[in-house]
Amino acid sequence: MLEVMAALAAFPDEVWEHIFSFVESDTDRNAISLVCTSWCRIDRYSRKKIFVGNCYAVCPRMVIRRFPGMRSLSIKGKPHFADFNLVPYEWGGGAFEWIVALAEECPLLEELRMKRMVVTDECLELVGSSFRNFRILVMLYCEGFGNVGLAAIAANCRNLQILDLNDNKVDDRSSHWLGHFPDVFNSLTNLNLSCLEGELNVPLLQRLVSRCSSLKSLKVNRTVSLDKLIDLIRHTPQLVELGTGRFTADPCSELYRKLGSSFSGCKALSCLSGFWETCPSYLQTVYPACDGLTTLNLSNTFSIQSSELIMLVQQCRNLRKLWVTDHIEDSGLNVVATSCKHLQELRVFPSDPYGVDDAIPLTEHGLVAVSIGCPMLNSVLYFCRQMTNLALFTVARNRPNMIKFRLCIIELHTPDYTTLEPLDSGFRAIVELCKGLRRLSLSGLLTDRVFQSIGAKANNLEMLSVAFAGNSDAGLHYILSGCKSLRKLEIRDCPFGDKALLGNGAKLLTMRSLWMSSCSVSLGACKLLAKKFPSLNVEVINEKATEPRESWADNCFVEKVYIYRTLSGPRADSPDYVWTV
Amino acid sequence: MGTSSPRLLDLIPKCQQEWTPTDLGYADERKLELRLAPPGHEDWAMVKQKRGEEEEDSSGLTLSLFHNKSSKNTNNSSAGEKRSGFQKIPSHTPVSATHLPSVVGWPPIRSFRKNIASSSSAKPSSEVKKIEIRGSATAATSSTLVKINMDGIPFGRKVDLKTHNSYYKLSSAVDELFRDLFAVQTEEEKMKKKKNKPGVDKITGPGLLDGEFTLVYEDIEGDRMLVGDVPWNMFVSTVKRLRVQKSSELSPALALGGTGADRKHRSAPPVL
Repeated sequence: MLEVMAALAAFPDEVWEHIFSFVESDTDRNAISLVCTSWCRIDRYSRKKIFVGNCYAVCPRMVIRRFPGMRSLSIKGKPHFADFNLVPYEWGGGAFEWIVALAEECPLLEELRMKRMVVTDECLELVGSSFRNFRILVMLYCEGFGNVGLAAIAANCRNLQILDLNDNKVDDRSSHWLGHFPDVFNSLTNLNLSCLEGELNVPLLQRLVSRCSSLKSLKVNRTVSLDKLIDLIRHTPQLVELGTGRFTADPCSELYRKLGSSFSGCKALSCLSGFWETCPSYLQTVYPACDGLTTLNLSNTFSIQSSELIMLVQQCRNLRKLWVTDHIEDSGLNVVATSCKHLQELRVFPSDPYGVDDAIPLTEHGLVAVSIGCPMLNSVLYFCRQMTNLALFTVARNRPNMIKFRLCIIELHTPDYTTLEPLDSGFRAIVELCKGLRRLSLSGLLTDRVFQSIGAKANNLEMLSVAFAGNSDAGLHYILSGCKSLRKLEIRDCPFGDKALLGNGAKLLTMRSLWMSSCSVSLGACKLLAKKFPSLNVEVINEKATEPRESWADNCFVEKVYIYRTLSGPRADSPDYVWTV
Repeated sequence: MGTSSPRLLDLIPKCQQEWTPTDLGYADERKLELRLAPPGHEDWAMVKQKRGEEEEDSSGLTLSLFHNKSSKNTNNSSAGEKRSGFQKIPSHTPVSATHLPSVVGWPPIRSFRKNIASSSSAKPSSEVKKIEIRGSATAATSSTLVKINMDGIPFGRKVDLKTHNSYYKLSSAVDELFRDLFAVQTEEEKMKKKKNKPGVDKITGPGLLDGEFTLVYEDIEGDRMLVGDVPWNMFVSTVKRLRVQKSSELSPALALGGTGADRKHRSAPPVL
């Protein structure tokens, strides 16, 4: 064995580097770098794509120095619960520090992907002026920028291929920034403007897309009307991915005919989204393209009834991914189960999440039907109003290949409506039978028993979301003492507290982060934890406290606490209501 | 949901809190409930609560505008406690599964989605078909009837923004709606005031701060704004609920002016 090792060690670095270039997963690359100093060195100089799951876990210059050959950076800012307004305004997650460091030390950066970060116009201007070969800018759930920043990107990134603005909060009063793309610019392959709220300047956009002959993906926003959409796709028959605008217009046979022929002209089309304010009769124009569709996102449209959705879905026999609202109803999901045999991901969103009117017949039956009919289904996000343990058990038994399972029963503490029992045994079946489960969100009435099962059985679980569940500290203890692969845990409104947290503090060193809000964690416990594990940042967030933090008693419960491991110590940009203890 | 009353959750962000004025206590808010009893019978809800009836009882008498919020408060008011500025929330208190709670961040839907939902018609069905026939592309948005409440008036009303197509008309319509109610409600106060200022108080124009009352509104993002800040069409497409508020009780940020957009992007001042 030693001889083999010695022989391998004799390989020149270049050989290893070539071998490593086939290893794409970050975890595998991380493992490689831990084998020996020379592998660590080879990995260090050859790694081009870097992923930073928490922008406060490491400081930017540290990353750049460790990986001087970096060309692509993906970075995440705020905790996931920020999506649901649980992270206070101006909490942090600013991109500026990172972009400044990259601009100074990593001028060859080509790709930047940011998620849940505050990206100011200044940041984008810096991106535009600093990276000569910049090609890819992706922002997801970001905020803080507007026309000025986008104009800087358009004007300066001469080789830009991907500009993907997905669900960002953009301050865009006009779309004239589109005019800042130089006349010779033609490198775009993906352009996603779906999150912009302002009126899109369609003539400008049309000029842009018609000269980008490799454009594969175009997503416009809801201000673009159907007739303008026709003009756009007439110039881009090569599109693979299309996000439409407002899918409604006056009834007009001419428009109907044109739209139909446009869609039949897009032979390569495989992903469709948009569909704001959809008019059912125009929906039929999509039919010619349906056979080629692998992704269909109808979750923005609230005006289509089940029967119309059924007719559409019946045509889409090759769907891999389907996002819809609950207007699809159980009957629609039955059709999905019989028509879409390749379906892998299903998301069903509530059309009226705050309504008391629960007349929409979307129940556990729809989910069960899909789990029976779609053998490749492995990712589910499902909002509904009732559930049973039997249904969950059936789903688990039918789909042991499930990887992501997020169930949201909209009313809190909803038990199995047939037996009035908690949903413990149903979720136990999910974690027991779906051995590869990586992401799980719980809802409904749940006791500590479900956490016992999760801790013991969910060995591949990486992210767990818990809300309004459990009876005691034991629940948290089960999670933290089990769940071998857990990286992210987010908890709200559960009676979990100090004992479980302090008893399993070391587990937090193996995780990316833990969020707890409205739980029973005391300030004293936070202090103890921080003292015991200096590499953890324990951020106490008390927005409503009126007294200075020095006078807070240790036995007080904190409103929110965000705990994450870090190499760079307490962050410098925290607002007043955040206290890194 | 005033500051004095314990909430179900302690994580309602400032922007969400703002609409229910901080100086309007829970008791005051309950006065604003719509119910089928003459004005002034404030104890009705209390009596009902004492009898321990379910929120969702089928009597159908409580037509509360704030039904969800107030029932939430009722649920937890006994259990909440306050310690040194923190709120201890008995989060595991079981909540009746029969009603929808108004909890920040639940159900877990991104705000981007929520905006789509609130600005699109939630109801499919015949409505849309009619539109199709009529051929009006814009009518697909939701109804233009908006709830309106006034400080000190126990009844809410509704106004149709379509029939009042300018701020000026809206202002006079609101004045009409509440003038009589207001006169009855505060007759004694009125008497005093009449000495100084004869005639019924006219509510001032939108956003003007020299009158006793100001018209404010809650937009689809849940922020409280001054009526008159944005162009009328934008106002119509973003307004969720109106309120006639005592000018003296406007929060300083609103009272000081500045554009709505400015305010929305200004951070809430830290409490500490």
